Amino acid sequence: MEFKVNDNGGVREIVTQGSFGFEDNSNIEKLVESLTGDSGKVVMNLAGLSKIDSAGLGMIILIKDEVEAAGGKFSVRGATGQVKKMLDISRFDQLMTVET
Amino acid sequence: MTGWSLSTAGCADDLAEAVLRESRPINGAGADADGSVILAAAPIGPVIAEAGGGISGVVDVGPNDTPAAIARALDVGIASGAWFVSLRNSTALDFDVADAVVKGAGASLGFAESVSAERVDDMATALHELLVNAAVHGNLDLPSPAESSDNVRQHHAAVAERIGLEPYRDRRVTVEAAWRDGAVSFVVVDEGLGYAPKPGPGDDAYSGRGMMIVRELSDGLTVSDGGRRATINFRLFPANAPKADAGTDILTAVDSAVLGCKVLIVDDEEILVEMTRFQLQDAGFSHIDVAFDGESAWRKIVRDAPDLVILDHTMPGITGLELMVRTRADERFKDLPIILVSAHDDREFRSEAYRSGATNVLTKPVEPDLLVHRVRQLLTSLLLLRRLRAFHRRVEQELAQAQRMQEALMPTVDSVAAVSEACGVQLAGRFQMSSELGGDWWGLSDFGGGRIGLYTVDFSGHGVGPAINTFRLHTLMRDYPPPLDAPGGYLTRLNARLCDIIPRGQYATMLFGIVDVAARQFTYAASGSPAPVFGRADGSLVTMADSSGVPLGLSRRAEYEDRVIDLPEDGFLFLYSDVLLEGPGHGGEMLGDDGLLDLVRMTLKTAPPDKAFDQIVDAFLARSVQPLDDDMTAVWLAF
Repeated sequence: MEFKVNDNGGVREIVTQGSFGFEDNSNIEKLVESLTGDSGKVVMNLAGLSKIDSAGLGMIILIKDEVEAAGGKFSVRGATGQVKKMLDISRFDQLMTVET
Repeated sequence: MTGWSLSTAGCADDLAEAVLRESRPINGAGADADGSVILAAAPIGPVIAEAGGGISGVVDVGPNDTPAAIARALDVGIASGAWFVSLRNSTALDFDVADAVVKGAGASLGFAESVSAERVDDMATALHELLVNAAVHGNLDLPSPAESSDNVRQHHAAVAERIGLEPYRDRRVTVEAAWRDGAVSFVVVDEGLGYAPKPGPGDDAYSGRGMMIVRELSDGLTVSDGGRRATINFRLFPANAPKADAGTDILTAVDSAVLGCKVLIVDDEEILVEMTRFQLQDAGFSHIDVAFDGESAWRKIVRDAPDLVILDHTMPGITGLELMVRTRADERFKDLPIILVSAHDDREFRSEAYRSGATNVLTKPVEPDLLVHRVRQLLTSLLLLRRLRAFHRRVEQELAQAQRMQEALMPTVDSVAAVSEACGVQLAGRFQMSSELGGDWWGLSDFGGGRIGLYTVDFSGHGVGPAINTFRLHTLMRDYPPPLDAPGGYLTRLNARLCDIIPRGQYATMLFGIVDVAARQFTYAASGSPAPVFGRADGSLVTMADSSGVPLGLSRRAEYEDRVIDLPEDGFLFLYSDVLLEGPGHGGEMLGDDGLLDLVRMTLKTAPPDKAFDQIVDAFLARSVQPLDDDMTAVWLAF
């Protein structure tokens, strides 16, 4: 998975690309660090993701916990296809804000 | 045992080249001497030996391979007929690997055309979860993440570190794919240490997020061998398989459904449980659960309601026989097939086993083919029985609904009372539906000015057909409402239209008439219906009127004439369906016209006028066998 973080007027948007799975464990720390201390709103845009697995889902929860621990608000948006199905199966809408 | 053999040296140049070009060391140690993709036929360890004959090839992938190279190798290997894939020391955690295995298996095993692209995605996602699990717990030896957020983070950090730095052990993850009996199975086995079941309530030990996803996406997941072996099944029937013809034997459908049944294996010897499980999986069964003692088996029976139980007799704690007695005592499990397996083969033990509720008794050691055959046989009977019951329930519900619809055609108690009051007469109707649907129906209309339209209808036959005909006639009468006079002309017109819409050979007897209350006259037309009975309320002058005529629906040329009867002062009029004439008389003989007249006369002489009608009907019902085999209609009008 490749990602970049855009700052859209106080809202940080994590734009993702590719597939998000186990191997991303090694670079998720970088992402978490780039958000450290941010108490604003963070949106993870999943529109560019083609696949996700349980490890990827776990990492989204990890990011959400980090953002909320710093007092920020977290949501995901834009999931389609396999990624949307995985969010649905895992009832992510009960864990966090899932925008379409 | 081996159908083909390949190594990088022997495979096509472009593959070897591509593999080498795309390969790069992931770790500095370069642990595997081969250093690249190996396509080999060598039997590799206990996993393959366990699978027995029929292995056509092995794709063995080394540790330094990029996902793309691995996927490519798998494509070639599987397309060559291998259904056994080994990822040696694999860190192939990319989605492409599972994708390649599923698509390759689909092409080489031949199920690709039977499944949708979405289902293939589900298979790949589920298989990917298992591969990652196997790699993490098998090859990387990482612990499962604990629940708290801190621990999850530590876990992720540990994974990150291990991927980058630690050398791998010489372990394999193998994937087996099979397609049998309408189900695709993937078995993922790793040679690692396995992983500890998650502590917590319930027996569902392997229930992390990934396993939950696999369960949702597949039609069954079993994890065994301490987390080292996972099987997922995907049913192609009925959702994705080509639809069976309507004419296909019901047994064919049941045969496929049998494999989706839940089977519980109970034995205290783990190795025997695993063998049985393997035999059933091999036969295509996908929902297999196990228990190692009677108490936990009982909990699973109650919780999961398995479709069949294979039960060992000799176990510590409660024995198989004792568990069977307990199970049969519960109404919910009276039909549960139980195969009792025991080393005893004497006649006394068998008799006791059947008395205790065994559906079948097999003697150890059980031949695998025999066991699978029995399981199939018993589940086939069970499914057929369930289908039959479901069918009965459905038909009963549909008939009940149709009965309610038909009853809704009849005048309500309120509407009868309203007409009685408006016209100053005593008017009542009784209707009782037969055990099946029937073709009876009656109605009335207040024409105003003390004129009441009355009719009774009885379509030929019993069941759904006549009931549908009553609706046809009802619709017809709504479109062509009865006239204020000339009932004969009305029947003539109804008959002509009915001949167009009801099938040849079906017919109705109908009596339609108009009561003029002030003139005490009943002008009516009839088409072979039971003859109206009229007379005085004290039981004198009781007689039958002429009701002959061609039944409606038989002849387009039939014509019906008006008939008039003068009703006496204190008189009554009684219309009824033929079931009353066919009812038993005192001596059990058919009542007939004379019997009915006698019944009416006698009742009128003894009963109070307002009770006479109910007593006549009740007397008939009391003599008849319930439920009636034909609809009963009775209508009463008295001045």
